[in-house]
Amino acid sequence: MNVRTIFIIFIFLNSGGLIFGQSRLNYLFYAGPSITNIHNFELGERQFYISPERPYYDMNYHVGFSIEKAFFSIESLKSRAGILYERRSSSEVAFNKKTFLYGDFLGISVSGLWNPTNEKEINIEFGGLCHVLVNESLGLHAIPFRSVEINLLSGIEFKLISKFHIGIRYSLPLNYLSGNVESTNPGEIETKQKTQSFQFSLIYKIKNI
Amino acid sequence: MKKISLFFLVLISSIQLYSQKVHILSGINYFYLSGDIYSSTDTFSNNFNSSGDYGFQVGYNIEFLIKKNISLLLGQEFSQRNFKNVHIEEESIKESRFIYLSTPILLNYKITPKSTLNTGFLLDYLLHKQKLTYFDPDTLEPGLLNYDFAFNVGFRQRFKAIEVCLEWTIGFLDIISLESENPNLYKENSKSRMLKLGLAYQIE
Repeated sequence: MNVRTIFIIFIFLNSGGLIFGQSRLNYLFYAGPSITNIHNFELGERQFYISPERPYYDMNYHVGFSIEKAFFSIESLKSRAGILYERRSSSEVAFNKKTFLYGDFLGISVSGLWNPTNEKEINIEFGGLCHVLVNESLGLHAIPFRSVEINLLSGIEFKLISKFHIGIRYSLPLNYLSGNVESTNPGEIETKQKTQSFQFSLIYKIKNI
Repeated sequence: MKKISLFFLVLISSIQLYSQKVHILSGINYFYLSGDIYSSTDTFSNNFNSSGDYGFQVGYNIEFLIKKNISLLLGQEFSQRNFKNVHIEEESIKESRFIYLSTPILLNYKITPKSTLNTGFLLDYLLHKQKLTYFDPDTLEPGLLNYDFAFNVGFRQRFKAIEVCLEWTIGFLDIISLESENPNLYKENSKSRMLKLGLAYQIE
């Protein structure tokens, strides 16, 4: 069973929860800073270059919208689907010092949330994010609207106050950015790229619509 | 598809049978590499000395109560592990860093109402590293594993809603494995070792 099959099964199960579940929908708007990086891989190893020193993590942003529903009417389990726009980049010399690689991504996320407690509103999230590059900088070996990444998502959310929640989410790409420019020199080591992101979100949740 | 859905429902309902507690974790660690460096040609191994350094970890875990005194801990941690390469003659220090996404799978045993022992495994996935490169440009062999598998043993002492955690982690795998074409010239195998001291705040 490959990654695509698992992803399709997950989407199916998720949409099943959204369509056939008895409970009402929750709508979520979220945005916040992301700590991101873009790594070059050579021979499967993440590279860190010395002169200038790079890549370091960089501070960016994300914004998204999701719909949430109880999974098969079990209140402690929810399924969630939505869209997400995010900028991912890496910086030179030090954290957040000088951005040298960036890409803007538009994606669809599907995930399952589980509340392991009976009283507090805490959700553990696992899911997937499929996003496409829509804008890029020089040096990112990828092509807008053709380069796709499939990410695993995992995170945790807490209720802050009233309709506001805070969430921390990590996305881990399963594949290299597709559409990477392949090396034309036979002796040259091929460079591939992967992004990553820690998202810190302020979530505004409208319940039971 | 029905079978898969049923499997998930059974899995979910079986999880619901157990009571759970959520902990938020943070703390410091002391990480170092343990292994052998052999070099016959130059003074590399004599002049370079790898030593440990302090880092930190932050994450959460969920405790599933299995029996009165036994529970299962599952979670996720982001762990920044630093170490130093010291050039003895030049007296220069090159600081290196690994950042791992770590998944602990631990069995907790309550020895007193407020004290627990735990043991289990850590699955680590490398998210970032600086500043060394570990592949051999001559042989084009990668020298650094992107993952690690480690044994973990620890102790937790509860003070109201906060637990103080002390854990010792021993890596099973050679995360750095380098060898020149002639292994008599240069060879390095290193495993991870880490001591963790942290606080766990129990949400429920």
